Amino acid sequence: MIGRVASCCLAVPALACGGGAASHAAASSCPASDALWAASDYSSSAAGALALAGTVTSTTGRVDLGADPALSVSRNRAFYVARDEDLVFELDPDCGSPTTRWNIHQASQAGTSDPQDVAVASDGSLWVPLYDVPSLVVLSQEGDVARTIDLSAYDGDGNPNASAIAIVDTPAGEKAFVTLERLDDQDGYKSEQPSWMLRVDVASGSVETNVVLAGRNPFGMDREGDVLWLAEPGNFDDAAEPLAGVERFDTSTSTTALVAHESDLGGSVAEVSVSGGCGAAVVADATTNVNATSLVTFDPQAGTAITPAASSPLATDGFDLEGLASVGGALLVGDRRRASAGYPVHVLDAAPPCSLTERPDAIFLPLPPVGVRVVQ
Amino acid sequence: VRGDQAGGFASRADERDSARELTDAASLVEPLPGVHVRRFGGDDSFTTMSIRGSSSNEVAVVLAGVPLTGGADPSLDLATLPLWPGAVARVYRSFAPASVGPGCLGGTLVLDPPRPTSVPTTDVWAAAGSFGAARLRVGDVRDAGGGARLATAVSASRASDDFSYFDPIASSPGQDVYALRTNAGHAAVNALVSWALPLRVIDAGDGALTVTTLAQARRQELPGTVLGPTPFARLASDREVASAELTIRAGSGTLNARGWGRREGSRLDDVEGSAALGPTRADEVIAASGGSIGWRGRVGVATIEGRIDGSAEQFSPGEYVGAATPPEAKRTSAGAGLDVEWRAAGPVLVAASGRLDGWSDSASDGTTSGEVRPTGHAGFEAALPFATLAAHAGTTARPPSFVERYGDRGAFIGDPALRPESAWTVDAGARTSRFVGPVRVAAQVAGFATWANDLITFVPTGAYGRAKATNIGRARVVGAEVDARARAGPLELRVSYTALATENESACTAAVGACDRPPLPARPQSDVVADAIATVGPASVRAGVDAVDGISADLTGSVVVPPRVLTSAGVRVDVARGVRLALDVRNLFDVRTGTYDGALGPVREPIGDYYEYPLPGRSMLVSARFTEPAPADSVGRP
Repeated sequence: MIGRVASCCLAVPALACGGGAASHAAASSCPASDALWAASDYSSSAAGALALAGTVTSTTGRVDLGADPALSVSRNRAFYVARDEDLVFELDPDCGSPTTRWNIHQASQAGTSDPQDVAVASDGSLWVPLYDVPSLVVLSQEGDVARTIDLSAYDGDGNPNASAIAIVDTPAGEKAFVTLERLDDQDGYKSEQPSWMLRVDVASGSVETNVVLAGRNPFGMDREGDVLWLAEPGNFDDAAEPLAGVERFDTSTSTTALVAHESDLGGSVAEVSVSGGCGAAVVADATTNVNATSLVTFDPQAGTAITPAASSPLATDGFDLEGLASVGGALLVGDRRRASAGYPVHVLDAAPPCSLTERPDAIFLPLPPVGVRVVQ
Repeated sequence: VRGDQAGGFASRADERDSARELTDAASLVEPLPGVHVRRFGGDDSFTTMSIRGSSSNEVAVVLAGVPLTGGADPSLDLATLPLWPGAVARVYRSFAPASVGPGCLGGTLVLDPPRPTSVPTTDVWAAAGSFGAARLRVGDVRDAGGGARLATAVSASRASDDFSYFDPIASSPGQDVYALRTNAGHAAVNALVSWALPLRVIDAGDGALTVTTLAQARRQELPGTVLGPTPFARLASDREVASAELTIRAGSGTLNARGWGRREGSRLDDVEGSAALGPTRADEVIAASGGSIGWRGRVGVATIEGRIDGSAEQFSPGEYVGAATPPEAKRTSAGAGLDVEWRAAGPVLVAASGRLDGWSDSASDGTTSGEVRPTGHAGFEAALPFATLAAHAGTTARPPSFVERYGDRGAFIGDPALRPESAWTVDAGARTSRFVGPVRVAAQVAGFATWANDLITFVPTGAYGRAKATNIGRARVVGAEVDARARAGPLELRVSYTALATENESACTAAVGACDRPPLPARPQSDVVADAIATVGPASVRAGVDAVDGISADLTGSVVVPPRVLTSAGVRVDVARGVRLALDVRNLFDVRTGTYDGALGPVREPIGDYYEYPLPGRSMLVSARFTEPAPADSVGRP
């Protein structure tokens, strides 16, 4: 079935009411959706919602959506991060349309500060890690900068490259967990030292500890309860690195372990999603400048590969699979190759323990997907 | 709107005829129909040129008979072109004569410096203006004794171009922030000497040897984008050009032999951690040489010009720090061309041009590739009582550049098997020059259509998104051009208008469902340059407008650059015989932002074809010009 485009969100969204650091739009109504998406061809971008039935809503052609987006979900709120524009948009959870805008730009930075992710604390504050500035910015509910946490001490080059964040209620209280890639900013962002997980106390804003991660280059993070699943490709030109794969970080104990190795999965792990007893990941082969992607599955407890890349139910010739999310017993996988009706999001039914069957009908987006997330 | 155009539509811009004070070579060609000049900042910033919707790397540029574009540098920065008093630019909008050289897919710009055979003149132009601009141009043509003629020219300029611009990432609703563009300046000096020596060849007849040498040096600061400024990036470059042209009578025509050489050196310096993500140092040298021999004359009822030419080009990377050194590359090419023109019937002039070109490319990694390709076009011009009609059709091509063929071992991946880009173009138009009552009107109207295939597009590949050159591009361009002048007594109006409708047949709009083709990015649907001039005694005043609209900023055509209308004004006064003072004000109303569609409503961004590269607000230029002998219209002229 070809994806249908609902008309409710195609018109120009409601006008912003300016003032302060945040801009807002009037609430809109949309049919219920199953997931939100962000898409980009890296010259312009779009955001919206999709339903497993095929319905798609979208907002396209807006200059401030930028050309390098990311999608975040935290505490049942969804955010579109225009990384190259230093903007964060909150998305309507049904329509996927932007409703509020925050400017994250740091005045000390001449160019973009490069926000990466958003996490919501229990007090409603927004925590945003920056990639090009060694800072973790905390916005109050009103959108003002409530706190800026300096991260420069966590990498010898002065910038630890904070890439993702999750705020979790742990036995020790509410904590923010921030992945630090710790790449070499002066040498092509190479991964030449261990990556870390920073634990920050939300109430005080103080950094409590840094945990050395077992794998290198945390590229993506998926939260399942108290557990953070990290996709760690290491170097994409090598699919047999011992310090790369899927890492399981337990927020209740701040302990971590590399669960599945990339050599077992058949490629460098770009994205991971774990739901119930089934782990799914997008892996890329080591062919330089090709990095053909495959969907693989693994046992999240034992770490063993269930369906490695060699027997993947969904594989491409290039680095095409982007956007991975589990929803209602189905797995959504974005595909950047255009089909006749648009850019497909494949829907695969997951049967216990971890058997995937692709539905004949994909859901189509107007631009190549970069992220698919589910708002619980 | 002069000269026969049976071979193809061409426009001509003369430095002495400009309605505006010219800052650089780009501003000389900017008012021409079919031409869109894209500036990435103020004057002297990186500037490219598109003709009839072409890409900048599809435009061939020839300076003083020497090709400046080639495999190593297909997209010439117009800011590096020198401008001197008496310079003339010709733009072949699609089809260039075969004798000019291989030509290119997207038209040809020929820039001629002052000719030693022109009227003896001394010209000095000096100017100072906003953003620290200081400019000097000197040209001199004189007898050198013994029948020899000598043309010398010098030009120099500098500017800081530190204009303020609306900073979109620092601004919030209700709080505008303007930032200063830093590291955007330049300094340049150019010198040219051209000798014309009369020759008498035994058993042949009179002839001439013309030798031209050119040297340029330039220091350019590279500011980067608004989102990723590069405050420490700098490019130092030099260019040396030499040519010798021998012309002698031979039979019923003229034999012409030309040899040329070109060397360009550049050194890029940046700092570690720069937003450019490139090398911290890169030294490069491009060396090219070539020659041609041809004969032009009458054969029966036809005028023909046949020419064979050849060239060799070498790109030699030097020291590279902070990035992989790109491969050394060479290109050897040879071609033969024939232009034929004959009067088929009384008012009908028919022309045809054909070329056969072969390229052989090789790189230091042992990769080689080559191709032989014919191109050509035919056309006619019919002089009717009410107007002169002309039409042309033909095919053009562009061989892949070195970076497209071999990559740079960094962000760009080459493909040695790339095919040349090619296109079919047809155009037709009419021109007239007549009095309408008291108004003298000269106008040309033309329409054109181009179907381009095998366009080379860089496609992101792999996990790191490196761009690989691929022959997937196809495009269709349809457009119209108007070039008109009207004069009535002391009033004059000049208008140049280009309308474009483009279709990128290798992309789809950002919509679900069947694929609708978006427009090509960065091409204006409408581009107007107009000037109204009133002359009273020794003074003239000018009001001008430059307007563009319909520029798509992205690949899917979903983000449209807001229409931009910039006005300008100028005053010129002849204060003494041969001495003219002028004041030019550009962007008179200080337009610095445009309003785009934003996710929550309208948002403002800096003006510019790409908003990441803002254009300056209001600027002024005060100039003085001394010409000896004084022009015919100068005050006090006997």
